[in-house]
Amino acid sequence: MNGQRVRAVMAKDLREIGANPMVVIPMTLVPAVICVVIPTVILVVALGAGAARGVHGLEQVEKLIVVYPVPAALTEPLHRMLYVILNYTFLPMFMIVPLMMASLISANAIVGEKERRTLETLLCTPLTNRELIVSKLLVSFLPAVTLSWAVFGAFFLVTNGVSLAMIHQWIVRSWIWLPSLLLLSPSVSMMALSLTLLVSLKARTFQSAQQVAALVVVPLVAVVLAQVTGAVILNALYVVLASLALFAAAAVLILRVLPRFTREAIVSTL
Amino acid sequence: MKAVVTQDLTKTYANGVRALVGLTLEVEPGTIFGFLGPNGSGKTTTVRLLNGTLSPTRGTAQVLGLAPDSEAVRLKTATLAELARMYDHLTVAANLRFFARLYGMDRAAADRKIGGLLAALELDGRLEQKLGTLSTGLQKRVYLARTLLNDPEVAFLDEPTSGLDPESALQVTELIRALARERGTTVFLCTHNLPLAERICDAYGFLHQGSLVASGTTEDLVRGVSEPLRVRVTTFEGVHESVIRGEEEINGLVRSIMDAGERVRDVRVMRPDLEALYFHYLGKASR
Repeated sequence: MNGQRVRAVMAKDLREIGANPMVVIPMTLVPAVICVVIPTVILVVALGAGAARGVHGLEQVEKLIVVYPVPAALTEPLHRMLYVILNYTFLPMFMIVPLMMASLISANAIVGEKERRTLETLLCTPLTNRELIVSKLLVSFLPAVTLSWAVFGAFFLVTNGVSLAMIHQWIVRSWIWLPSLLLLSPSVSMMALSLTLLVSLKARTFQSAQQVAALVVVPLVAVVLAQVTGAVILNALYVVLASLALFAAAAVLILRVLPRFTREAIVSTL
Repeated sequence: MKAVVTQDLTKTYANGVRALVGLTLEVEPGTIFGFLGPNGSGKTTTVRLLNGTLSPTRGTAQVLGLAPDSEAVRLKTATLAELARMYDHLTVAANLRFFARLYGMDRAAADRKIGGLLAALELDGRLEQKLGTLSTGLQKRVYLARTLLNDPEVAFLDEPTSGLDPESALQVTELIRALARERGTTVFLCTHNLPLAERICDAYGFLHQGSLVASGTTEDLVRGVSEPLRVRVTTFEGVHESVIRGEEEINGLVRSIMDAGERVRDVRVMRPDLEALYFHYLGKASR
């Protein structure tokens, strides 16, 4: 495998992504809204208006959240609830970021090239099939994971900034974020990538590829609902196990798709 | 060594469409080979088989003595596919540097090469313009520059003048001729622009419904036409057009005109042009 060619394709794809508003806008807006604006609004409204008027139904939530390891420093029921919401309930929602980024970038990098009729030009160069796939996977995986870490950084700073200002406590500080960022985020990205790769074999448009690949979001929503109803109580072990399962599933899928990803298969769907 | 050799090359797609049937062909190195045929006749399929993006159902192909799907062939050849594009969001420079890197060039070598090509293609001053903002004609020239980045020994050009106005088409055609003559590049030119093909091609292949119906130089193709020749004899007294069965009859014809007291100024055998040959062979194949 020729590293220079792989790096060249990656650098070109990154420049293209940066120049394409159809990719840049959702890549910046969606994470900003989901991971910064919404949690900040929840925090400000709950700590401001909620504390003043009391939160109805808090007793039921309290029953549910006692199973989570809330720091002893958070004594107020409202603060405990916010801790559980922002650290545990919110975690699966946060995984939408690497998932969406990976499917968006890979759909643009593979099917988008088909749609814009640039892929055939690439196929006529010395680039091998393996170099093509490796570069497309890396250029989707690395930014997706990096961006999810950056978004977490913004989420961490903004929510804790607000909570420190309003209640003098760090609200986002569960250790569960560590395996989530280091393992779950990359594994979710890998899964989204492998699905996009599979879809790319047949899809002719960027949007159709991305929509099918985004179906991975369904299990995440299911986890959120299961948590709210108390059916699932997230902990670090579950996160690690889920990550390993996703890595394994993604690896199997990629290894099965790769041999089918030939020049002929690509050209026949142009 | 021939630049391109195919033997019984056949391609049937998964949906059952037979795009190419038993193509047997040889292309001499350093020549411009015009591969002519109507839309859907199998020209693009042939190019894809020769540059290794498709695999044949039957038969073999060799480009520069190598199997088309090898990396070595792609390093020594280049393809300008009819509908394939480059990156509209990137500048001309970024596009060409990217492809230069795929051919193993470092930045300095790439910039030298790109500078020379853009000057030759009269694209000076366009380096920092985004490709998508250029006219179709200028974009085609950038595509041609990309095709020449690796100094290909064989260039497959699939409809390089499609979508161009007549002036731009003529310019691109002249550039292709210069490429072949100055660099010794073998050009495999797919087109249905017969007048432009006639200007630059050394030999032709006529493709009809996936089958090669005739190939060779103009002389070879004329020899294959069994229709009578037309001869125009211009005298100081007037013009005589006659139909003869072969060139050996020309002397007798001229003598009979002179015997009639006319003074001969010019004798011209009216050979069929490429268009006439093309329709002759394709018409014959359809019957």
